[in-house]
Amino acid sequence: MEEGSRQSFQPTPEELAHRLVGYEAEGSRGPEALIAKAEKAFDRLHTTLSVFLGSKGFESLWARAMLLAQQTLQAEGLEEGTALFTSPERWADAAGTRDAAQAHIILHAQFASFLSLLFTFIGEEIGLRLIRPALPDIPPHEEDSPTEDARL
Amino acid sequence: MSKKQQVAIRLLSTGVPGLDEVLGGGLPEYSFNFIAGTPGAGKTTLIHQIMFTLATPKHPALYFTVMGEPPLKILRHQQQMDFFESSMVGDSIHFIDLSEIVLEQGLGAALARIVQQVEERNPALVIVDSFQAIVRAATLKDHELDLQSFIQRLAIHLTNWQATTFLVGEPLSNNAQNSPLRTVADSIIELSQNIHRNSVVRKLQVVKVRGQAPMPGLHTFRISGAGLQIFPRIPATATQKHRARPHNRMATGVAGLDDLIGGGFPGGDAVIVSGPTGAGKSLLATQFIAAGAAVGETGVIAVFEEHPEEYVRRASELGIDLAEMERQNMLKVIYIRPLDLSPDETLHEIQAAVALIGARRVVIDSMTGFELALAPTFREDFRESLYRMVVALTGTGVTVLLTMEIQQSYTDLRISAYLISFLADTIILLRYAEVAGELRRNLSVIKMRNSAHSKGFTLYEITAQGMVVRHTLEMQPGSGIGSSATRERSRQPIYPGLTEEETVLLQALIKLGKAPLEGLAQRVGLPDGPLLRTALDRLVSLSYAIRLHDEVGTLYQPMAQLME
Repeated sequence: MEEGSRQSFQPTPEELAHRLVGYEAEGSRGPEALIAKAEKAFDRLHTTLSVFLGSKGFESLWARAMLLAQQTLQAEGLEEGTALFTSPERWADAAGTRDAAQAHIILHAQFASFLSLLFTFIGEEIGLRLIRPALPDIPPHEEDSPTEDARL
Repeated sequence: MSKKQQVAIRLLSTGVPGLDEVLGGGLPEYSFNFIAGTPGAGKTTLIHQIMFTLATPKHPALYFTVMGEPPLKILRHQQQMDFFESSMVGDSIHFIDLSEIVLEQGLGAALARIVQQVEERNPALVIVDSFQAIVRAATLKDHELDLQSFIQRLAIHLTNWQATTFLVGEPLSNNAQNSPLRTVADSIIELSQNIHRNSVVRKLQVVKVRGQAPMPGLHTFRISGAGLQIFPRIPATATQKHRARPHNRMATGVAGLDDLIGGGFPGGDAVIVSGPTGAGKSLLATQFIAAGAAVGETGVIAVFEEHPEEYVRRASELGIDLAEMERQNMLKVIYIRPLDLSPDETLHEIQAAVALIGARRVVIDSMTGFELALAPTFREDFRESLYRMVVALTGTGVTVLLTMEIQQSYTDLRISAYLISFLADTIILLRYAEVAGELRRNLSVIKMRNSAHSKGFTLYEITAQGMVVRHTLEMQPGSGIGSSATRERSRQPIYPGLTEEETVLLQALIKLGKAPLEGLAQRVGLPDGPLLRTALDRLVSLSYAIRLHDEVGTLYQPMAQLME
């Protein structure tokens, strides 16, 4: 997308993923802090979107996104062991196989893949509106809902 | 209870064109409604259209999905519609999935979840889609809450919380299982789609609306990018009640024809012009529209057979500039030919065009094309459909001219293949006749309600200036039309020195006794212009008439006797 073409703040899935599992290299620290952050982000997304999608609907969408993420990571030469990262239950175990920087790449790709898939189905604008409760720091859209006068 | 003590029930406008009318004014606020329809009938689109019309941040809508269309797909598909506003999602409209709760925990838990969300978000609208899933869940498991209790508690709670509620599902069968909903629902709206040959016709029926008088019957509707549009099936009796007939005459624009019909078609009449191909039906219709435009009367031409551009081009060859009339908003030409129309949709199109320019004249060219444009299912009751359409139009004082093609038979004087003459106030039959060895066009006025008219067969010609009526034919005793024994009436002038037009004018003046110029103009169907004034000057100069001046203006009085 060309610079300046967005009328309001419309972060990309990658930018949103960065907000969810942002990582700053801090010396030789392991990936535990990152994993904890990712788990919280996952829980927030799950809680928020399950209202709309249902829990099973969310999990199904996540599973599909993980498959797509693995394909992306394979293209980047990181396919080995990435399957371990497909669900939060396995993240803690998987962390032992990667350093923090590699774990960040994988988790970032997974969250970006999930959001991208969500946006593919329902568009960026509605997708952002639905995940906003999970990401309260996203600036609101410029476009407001219709006024009261126009309706009931 | 006196009127003043009654609680006024506010009616909500649904935002669906035609639906409020069918419902009897709108949806009662806080009502508990059921929208039923077969898969693909359009119920999800309908409820979204209503929801996007009524929801606000302060009075939001809660949309509960229950094992029907997955919510992700609902949003994906519905956002293609024009009424869908993304900015309302998550703000004025909240989607909540209940599928797992219903499946795993039962109706009691689902009801508790609905109640919790309603109390938390204070919605003005609550939608449960699909209700059929609730019914199935109730039958599959031994829940602690049965279907009847679920519906009863849901209705009570949502009404008390001042929410207007919609359950969306498949049509209710007549089994006992569905009876609670039939009883509890304040309104039931049923959607259906019928496939007949290659056409699909969608219909909506308001089965019930508590406290209101909905329009009865099945109403056709169409789904486009704008959502649903209902075409209310207007009962003919309703429009007939309000029929207000103007008392004026509408000049036909065909030289000589107005003399045969007392000065023109009576305003508000339904006129059928019937004849074989090439007889000049469309031409007469076009001249009728042009004559109206010449005196400031706007018109609508509904073309069913040929493309409007071709229609306009043919008229221009006769010096009738329909395109210019359209540019000046004196005319609206509409082209309707999708082959899956309903009569009500057609009527809606025509009525919209009539309203747009305030038309006083409508041409439907032709009835044969109109019938073909209808979905096959409507052709079976074509007469009834046509009757409702004509009555609806003439009920507002519009004069409607319908053309109809027939096959000419020399032994059969049938004027239409549809036996629809009952709906016409005036019928003009165009035919070919053999006259002195030539095939000549002739017309006859078969019928004119409440008006005297010529009873003879009159020759007419199609000239470079359009249709022109010439002479009346005389029939030999025992001969039929088309016989070589038919001959033209003697051309011997009965008023020496006068042209045919001046003779017609004099005859009109003799019948009127004494008349102002305007009255004569109306009687003979000529505009008040130089032609008429010159003809009157001639009558005065040849002592066939005298000109009188009194306090009301100039009057003309005949000095000659009526001679046939």
